[in-house]
Amino acid sequence: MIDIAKSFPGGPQFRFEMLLRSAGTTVLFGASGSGKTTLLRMIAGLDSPGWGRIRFGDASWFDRDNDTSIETRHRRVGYVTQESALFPHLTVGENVGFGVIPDERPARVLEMLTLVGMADLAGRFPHELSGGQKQRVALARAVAPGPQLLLLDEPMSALDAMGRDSLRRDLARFLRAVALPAVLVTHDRTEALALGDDVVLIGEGRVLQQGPIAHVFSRPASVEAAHVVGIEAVIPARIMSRTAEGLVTLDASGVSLIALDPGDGIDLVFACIRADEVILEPGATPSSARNRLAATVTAIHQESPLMRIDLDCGFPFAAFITRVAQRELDLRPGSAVSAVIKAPGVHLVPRS
Amino acid sequence: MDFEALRVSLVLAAATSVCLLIIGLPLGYWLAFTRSRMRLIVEPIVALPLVLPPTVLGFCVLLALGPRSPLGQMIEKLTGHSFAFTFEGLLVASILYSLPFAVQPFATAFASVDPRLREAGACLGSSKAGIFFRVILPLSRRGVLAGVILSFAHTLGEFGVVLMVGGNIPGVTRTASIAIYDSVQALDYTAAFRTSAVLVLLSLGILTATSYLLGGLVVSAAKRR
Repeated sequence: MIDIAKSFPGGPQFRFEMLLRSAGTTVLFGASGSGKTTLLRMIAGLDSPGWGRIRFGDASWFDRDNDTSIETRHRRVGYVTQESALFPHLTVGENVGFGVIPDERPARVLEMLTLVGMADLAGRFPHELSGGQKQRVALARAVAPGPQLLLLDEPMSALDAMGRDSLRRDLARFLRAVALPAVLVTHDRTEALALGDDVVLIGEGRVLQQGPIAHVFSRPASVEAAHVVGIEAVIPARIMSRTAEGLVTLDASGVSLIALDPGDGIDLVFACIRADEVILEPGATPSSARNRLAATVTAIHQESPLMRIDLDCGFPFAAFITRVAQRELDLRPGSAVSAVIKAPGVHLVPRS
Repeated sequence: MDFEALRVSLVLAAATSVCLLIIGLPLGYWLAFTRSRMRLIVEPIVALPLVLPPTVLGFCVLLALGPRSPLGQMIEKLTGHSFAFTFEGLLVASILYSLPFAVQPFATAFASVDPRLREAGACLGSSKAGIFFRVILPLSRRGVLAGVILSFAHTLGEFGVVLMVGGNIPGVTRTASIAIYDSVQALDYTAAFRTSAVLVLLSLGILTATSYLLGGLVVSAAKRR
């Protein structure tokens, strides 16, 4: 349980209130500078919150009211940062054994290094390892002393794409094997979906939404949450009519859209459309029945492995398509195209 | 050549270096990591011998250790004799005089250790002392070695402080630099030359060995770590 606040003189202010899972991985998801790392450091005891409480199970780690603040070394957290922060004067084996009592050291080091597939490199020094290998050693080192909570601060962000893919797979396996509650900070959607059970969306120094990751990512509760999870188009809209089948017709900046009824008699909404929900077809022949919109291509960006097509149909939105599809549709800035969005692909968020 | 004076100089330099290692490590650690406002006072005091004329420092120590000062009286009560014009008094003065030459390289070296490594140590359950001896000190070894050697070499060459506090007693407080001065005063240029030559060679030897050990000059090594 976490309920803390921190403010920096003349800088940002943070207020976080959340419940972490007692098992599995909770992802702290948000843009850079949203306060994710600060939050993780406060959980570890490396930074002090100005106000609030942090409880882990029955133990109070921080309580401003009682002047309680448990030292980092007594919190028993494993902490892995972006750059592995391995001790440069110690070998891989000595790094992993750093937090283990001497009697158990050799066996535990071997066990941990085997788990991350690095047992044969125990005698190497950190400067002799690749970025991915360093992060694997950092993981082994963090878990070796038997922590009660694992904190991972963007452990893959310093790696190249290939290294990231490989480490992501290994990390998923590693987290299952060690069966520790873990908190993972990331701003990468793939990483969050691959590794997380729950997600806490962080934006502007506060918690925007939290819950099971698939639910939060597909059904953000607010416009801020929609922006954070990477929904490319958020359009102010008004519900014009409702049908008995549970559908609504929207007026979104003069464009008519069909969506699922959000209920509660709400009329003013934001229509959120993810770029991967948009299908492009040749020619501009609108039809309101299927959310078939006549759009103009405004820009084309490569977002490997896909192409992101920026469009305008009265409001700006985007579509992800393959390079082959782009060639077939012969898309270039200024091209006219039909964009099809299924009704469930238009997610409505109430606005006041 | 005055071998006795050379011996006194070497013993004094070695004793000063050892004492500065004991005093300088905790003091350097405190200066590197404290957030206390006391640092604003302590730091200039540590650096003071860099700018103060050695005679002024020597005079202050002489007054402080003399039989009329409360400190001097306390020392006399504890040890049975005054520290003025003794080897012990000379050692106290030398420690103060060389303090910045040890503490500043120590503090610079400690402060330049990546803070993430200290945090990693804390997350792995290490105490502050554990982190110091297992992480900070090994990674600061160049700076610590540089500080020890600088204070040794600096003590070897001190003159003003020794003259004020030591009193030029042969075999006890008469160091090589004083012996050279006396030889010159007595127009015994041969003796002065020989002792000087030994000091020059000794200093050069120390610096060369250090340079070899640290892979660079002493001063730059202190800055690098």
